Amino acid sequence: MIECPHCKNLELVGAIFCRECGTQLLPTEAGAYPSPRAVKKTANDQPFNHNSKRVPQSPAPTTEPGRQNSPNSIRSQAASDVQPKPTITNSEQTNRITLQVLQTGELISVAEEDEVTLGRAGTGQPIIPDIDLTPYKGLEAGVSRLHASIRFKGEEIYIMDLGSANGTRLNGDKLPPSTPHRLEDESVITLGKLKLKVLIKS
Amino acid sequence: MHPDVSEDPNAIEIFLDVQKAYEILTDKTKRTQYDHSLHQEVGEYLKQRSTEFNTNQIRFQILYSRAQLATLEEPQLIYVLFEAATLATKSRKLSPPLNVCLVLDRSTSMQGERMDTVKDTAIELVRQMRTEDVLSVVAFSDRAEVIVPAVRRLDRADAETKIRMLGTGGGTEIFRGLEAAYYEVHRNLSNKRINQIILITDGRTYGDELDCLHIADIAAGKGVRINGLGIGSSWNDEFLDDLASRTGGRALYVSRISDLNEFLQDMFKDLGEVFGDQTTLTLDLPSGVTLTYAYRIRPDTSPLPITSSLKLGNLLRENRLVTLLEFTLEPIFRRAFQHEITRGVFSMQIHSIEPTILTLPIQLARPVNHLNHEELPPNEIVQALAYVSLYRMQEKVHTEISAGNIEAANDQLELLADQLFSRGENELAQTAMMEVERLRSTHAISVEGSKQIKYGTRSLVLPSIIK
Repeated sequence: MIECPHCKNLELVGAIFCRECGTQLLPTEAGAYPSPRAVKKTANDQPFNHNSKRVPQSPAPTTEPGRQNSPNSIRSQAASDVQPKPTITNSEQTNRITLQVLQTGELISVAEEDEVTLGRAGTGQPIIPDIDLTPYKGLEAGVSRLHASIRFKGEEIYIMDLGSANGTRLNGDKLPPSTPHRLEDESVITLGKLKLKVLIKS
Repeated sequence: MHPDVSEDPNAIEIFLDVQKAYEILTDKTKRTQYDHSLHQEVGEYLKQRSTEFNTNQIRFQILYSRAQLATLEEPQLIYVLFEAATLATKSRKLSPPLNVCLVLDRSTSMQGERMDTVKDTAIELVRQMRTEDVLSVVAFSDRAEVIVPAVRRLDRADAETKIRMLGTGGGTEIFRGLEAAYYEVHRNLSNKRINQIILITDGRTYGDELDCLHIADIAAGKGVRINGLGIGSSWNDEFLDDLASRTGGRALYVSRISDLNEFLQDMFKDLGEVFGDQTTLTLDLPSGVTLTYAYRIRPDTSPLPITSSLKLGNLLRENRLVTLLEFTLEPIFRRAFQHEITRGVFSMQIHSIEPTILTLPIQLARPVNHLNHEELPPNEIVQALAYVSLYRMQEKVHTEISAGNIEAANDQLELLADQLFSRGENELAQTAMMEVERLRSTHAISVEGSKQIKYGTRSLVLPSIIK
């Protein structure tokens, strides 16, 4: 049996959530959930308003292991790691464009700047893309360090391949490098093998 | 096969694959290298705990929460995510003709805005029907009346007038309505059509529940799905859930009558996108294995009644069908290469130019090893379960209340509110907190609150709802 660190309820081996209090009993596979810095300005950045004194005090979410000792930390981990449901956050209300990882349904909000680069942040390299796709299995999917960029020109939004190794596709058509192509709502862009659906608010 | 003569758009890739295969098979060193890489692939495959295969334009995926089971002197759990997805095709879009009956509650409580909205919506739907569709309308109170019969050529103007003239009055006897509706749908029953009954009600039926469930089972056997829309707060959600889920359909909570049109339009939009329906996963569980929970995650989210024959809902074009299963296994004492969890058969009516029935045998099995450090469950399962577990907490509140354990129900509801707060679902959490207060003072939970929490936690399961 597994004992729930929060409420001491006993669960069977193989259980993932406590049936009594909903606490996540096992940590999640590392790397697959977007870390707060990978997702620009999403709910993870700002603690939401609890409006209730009943909510346990959650320490700032961290991801390193080895803090499974106190019940509270596991509980907060459950709360912060299990944030898969993309609630419509403030940023998504203001940002016009959101990318949805087709494989997992995770959402990446794109801040509106002249140019937003998509790629993979490696260790010890000077180039850091604005949006790091490592947490979305970018490496496995063959995303280059600087793969593509999204540009905002007035009302219109463009995608441009930055000479990536495995290429960028828009709705299945391969884009020649360094030429901008217009994005529309529900367009699907493919970086290497990583498919992202473009959601544009009208 | 050769790309010059083949019409297959992937001919070049296939041709290159064949060439590569030939190169590898004929060269000894390359072959050894390849076999080695294959070994790694198999390792990778086990780590992913999933199996994938394609058939009839559908990709199936089976994902396990654990790579292996453990030798254990106590029961253990394993979760399985079963997924069927349509593969993108360039073939012509086919929208099978509909055979739908709207069953409208005209009891006294529907009087006023509710009935007016129902009528407006029904008329809008009549106008939208294509010539090949059949739409019938039945109204019921304590008796049923066929307002628009199921005929091939719908007289729209006549149907509109008759719907417009509908008045209210009388009690709610759902069986009367369902019986008449089933008869109407039955007249044009065909596996080339999408056969469906849509029940719209705001009340409780008394005494005829069993008859209703019986007719639902008959309908399910004939491939007729029943969807229920409950308006307001006094309808019987447990009953409507049971009724709909027996047929692979679902019940929806329409808290504001103004939302009715949108709900129905969405429902009809989905009906136009059906790729396959009457999907059933029939399980033949070996002794020592119990299916302890089943929850449909896509295309809509609802718990499935635990039977050996699970109705998984409709597979829409360019969409997925996802079901989460929880199996409890009795103690396992020996290590094994394969331990069977269950066998089963997946079947589906596919609506292509020639309607076909797809049947696919399925086997779920895992190796058994000594319990040691287990790998973490895959994210897809954790994500789904993160919200399904909230729904189950809500279920537990009701179980405790009906068992008379008010205190336990109270604690459970507070814990649920905590979880909802910590996931940013503040509105739903506040509803839960209000019900905690109510439960404390009146030892009961309000019908609105309980429906809001039930259908609210249900809707959380569906990821990435963007409007």
